[in-house]
Amino acid sequence: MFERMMAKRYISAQKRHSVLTVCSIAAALALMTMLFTCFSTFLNIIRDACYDDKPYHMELRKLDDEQVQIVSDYVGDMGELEIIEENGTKTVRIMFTEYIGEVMEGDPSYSYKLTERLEGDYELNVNSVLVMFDMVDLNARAQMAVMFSMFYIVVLFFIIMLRMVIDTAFEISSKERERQFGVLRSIGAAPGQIVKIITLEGLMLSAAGVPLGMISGTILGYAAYRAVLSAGIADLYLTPEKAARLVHFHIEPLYLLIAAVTGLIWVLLSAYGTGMRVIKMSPIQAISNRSNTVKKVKRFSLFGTVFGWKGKMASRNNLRQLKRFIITVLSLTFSIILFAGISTITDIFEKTFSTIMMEGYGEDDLLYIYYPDMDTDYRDCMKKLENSGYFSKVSLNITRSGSARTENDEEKYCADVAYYDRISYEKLFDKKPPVSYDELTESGGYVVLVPENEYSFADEAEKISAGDTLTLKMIKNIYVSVDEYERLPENERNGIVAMHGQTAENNEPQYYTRYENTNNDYYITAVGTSEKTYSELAKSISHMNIDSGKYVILAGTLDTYDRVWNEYYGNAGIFTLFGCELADPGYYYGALNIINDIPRTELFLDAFDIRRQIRTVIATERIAVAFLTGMITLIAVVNMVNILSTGVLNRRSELASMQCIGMTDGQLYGMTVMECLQYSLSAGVLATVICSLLIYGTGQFMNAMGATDLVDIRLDYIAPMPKIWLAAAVSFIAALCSSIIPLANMQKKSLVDMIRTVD
Amino acid sequence: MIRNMELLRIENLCKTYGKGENEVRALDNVSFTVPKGQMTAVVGPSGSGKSTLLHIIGGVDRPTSGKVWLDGQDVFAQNAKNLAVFRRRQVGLIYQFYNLIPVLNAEENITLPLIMDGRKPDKAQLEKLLDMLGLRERRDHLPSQLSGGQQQRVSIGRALFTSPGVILADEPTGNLDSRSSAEIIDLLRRSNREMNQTMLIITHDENIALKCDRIITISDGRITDDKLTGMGVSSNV
Repeated sequence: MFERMMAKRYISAQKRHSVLTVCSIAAALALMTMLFTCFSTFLNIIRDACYDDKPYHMELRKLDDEQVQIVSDYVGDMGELEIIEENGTKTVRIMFTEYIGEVMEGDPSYSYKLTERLEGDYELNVNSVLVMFDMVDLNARAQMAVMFSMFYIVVLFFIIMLRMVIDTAFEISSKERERQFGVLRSIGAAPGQIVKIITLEGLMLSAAGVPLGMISGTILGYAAYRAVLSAGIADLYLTPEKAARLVHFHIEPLYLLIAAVTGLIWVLLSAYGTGMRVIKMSPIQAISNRSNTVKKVKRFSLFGTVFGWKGKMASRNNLRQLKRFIITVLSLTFSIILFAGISTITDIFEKTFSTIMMEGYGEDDLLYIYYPDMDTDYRDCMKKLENSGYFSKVSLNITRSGSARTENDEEKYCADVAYYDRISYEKLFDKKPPVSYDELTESGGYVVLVPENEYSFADEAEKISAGDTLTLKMIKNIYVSVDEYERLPENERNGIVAMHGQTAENNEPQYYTRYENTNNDYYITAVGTSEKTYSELAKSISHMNIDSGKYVILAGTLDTYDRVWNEYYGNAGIFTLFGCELADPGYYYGALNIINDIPRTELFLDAFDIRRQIRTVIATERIAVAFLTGMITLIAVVNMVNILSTGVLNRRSELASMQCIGMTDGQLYGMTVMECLQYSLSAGVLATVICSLLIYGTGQFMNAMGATDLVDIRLDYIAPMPKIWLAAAVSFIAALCSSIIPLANMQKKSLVDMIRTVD
Repeated sequence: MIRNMELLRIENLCKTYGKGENEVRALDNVSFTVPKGQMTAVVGPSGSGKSTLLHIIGGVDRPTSGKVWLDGQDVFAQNAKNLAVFRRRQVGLIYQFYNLIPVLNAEENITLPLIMDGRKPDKAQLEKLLDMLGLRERRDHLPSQLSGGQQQRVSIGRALFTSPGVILADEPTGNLDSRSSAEIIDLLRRSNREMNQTMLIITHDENIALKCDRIITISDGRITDDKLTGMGVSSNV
């Protein structure tokens, strides 16, 4: 068979091209396999997690023996049964091991045919997600088919781009043989035979490229899986124990087969397309290499103005394939923006979030509210936390509402009497307190008085100065339990405030508080005053009960606080907040358990989890961006390599002509460098402009979202520039390699041969 | 006196391709001289070595042995860079398939060797040349917008514009119809006469050869005949 013989001959004669084509097929297949492997791993993890929660396809509860028998008979060999006895009834769990066909009856509540046979009461649970993943019935298969089709469409979008990789290889290889194909046609080869030669060549090379690609793709998929794991994404959705048990790399043979078939189809399409392009040329065009005419050029070129005649020639040469030039420059620009710009924008977001977190929650990982009652002491709680070993630091902040007045009894303030430990106190004033913590302790302790927002006592608070004695007239909080509250008649419920804990479900009150004025006065002396203005951010998100305006520091010790607490406040409902820093991130779940075991304690804020989520979201975004960057860079580089290398090959005769009329090697390489430079410069300049606009847009977005009111966001336009131009330089080097290598190879041939385009 | 001054000297030029059994001797001890201003035709059957000779004279190809002297300069004693400069300044090459640069218009193609040389084209000289070539109206046209004859005229313009020592034309009319061929030959003849331009033309066309001053016949890489035509005799006279 003539075509097969020619294909074999071409493969063995053009070893370098054959290797390049095999590598390109392998690269495309590798990426495709990676996508499929990651998808199957993802599905497998979800399926296993789902099985872990509910290890059955169907569960029938509260069955009697007769019903169990009916179920058993119905399932037969189609699945495995697990029968659990509880409270005198039986629960049957079914795991189908075979496809059970069309058992659905169009009822979304999953009434299987089985249920028709069961009489009497029972409960039916269908693990529909597991049914879908295991494709147990027709509906599940349809659902999986829809899901897979959606994934396949996404994959297709990527692999359409990947086809360029294969196309490039075929184009380069066929470009050099255009003349030979012209000769073959001129001696009688039918166009179809030429197409067949190239297509057969593609098939033969696929025999090596496809398996190689699949092996590399599986390795790449595993690397991607490890990268995702290291970003902590699994831990976000699963506990570490579950993650270790359920998250495994999974290879699905069916998906590998689909990847291989898709790759093979792609290779055939590329080869066929190349063949069709070759036969579009008339034999004489192919023989005389006259397929490369230019119909229009731009007279003015900025590049020419800047770089002289070499720049002008380079610009015109690049614009010979205007469409491809634009696509390549745009994809290069896009990949540079993804690489440099998005990371800068992500940095801005990350910085903003970490500033917000730091301002709002400091370095605390977990904040707990403790509601002491008559019989408990916050100190016990603190001891438990400190002795748990899970925390490197436990800070304490206790506040209590009351009213205060100065000696002349003229000014009255609504006040929060607060105790801060040394750490919290210093943090409160950014380590610049008006009176040192030691001084406060020596002087008899301290109390922090905070004007309440709704009464706007800030102005009056200013009138307090160091040395003033304040009378604290406290409001007593009476703790009322939910049961107690519900027993109260309606008229006695007035003045009782519902308290909702952060972890309360369905917004149900966790307890109630009644405020009562007391006649007990308590005197304390202000040893220092300070103006403390909190940022809007700190006010809006902080756990601290603070207001903008003046902050007055009064005197008091923990002992004083305790006395106030014991003698004047009453014991109920004192808001005690513990801030805990984890000694190790691995202690997170243990710390949660410890706090759950402490009575009357509620997790107020899980800053660790928020930070972890933000980190994970950012890490996920970075991985996604890295993946996208990789894909788009690949496309851009492949396009560029394709255009530049085939451009050089196409212009062999033309470049030789220039050398014949006196162009030196240096000038020739100089012109080629200019061509490469135009790609990188255009992409670099475009990326710089777009990136600056994106940063500006991010600033505007942050502004619109109100983030700029909270955090001083510095839009650093310079930061991404080194990255942008580094990426542009790398693209320039890639471009240079793709031009210089074929040019250098071309230079090895004699000018006479080149000008005659003899192969 | 001036017309008989030797411009080109070829000494024992040999060129072989391949080795051993595959060795092909394209040029075998070829020697001749060309005086300045002479229009010489090189004729011979296909594969006789005409184009090889032309390419070696033009510094495009290197001989296996022998020397080429142009205007007293040993062509192949130069390094690659100087050889390129030599081609740019001393040689004007005209090809059968024109070999114009497709992204440059007619005027830019003509001035390209001068621009490569870092010189500014003389506008008056350019206008004069464009008039002579009949390309004034087509100066902004790209090669793809020109006919074969026009493209060849651009190619001649490119060869002439730097006033090189010698113009080497490889079957300049081989791709043209008879009318265009006649126009091109007239153009070459005119530039030879008006500019005293030395020319070496490879051709299969006997009529063209007869319009030259001298005809060198090559066969199997050797000069088998070298004679002055009527034109050559009259110009010598």
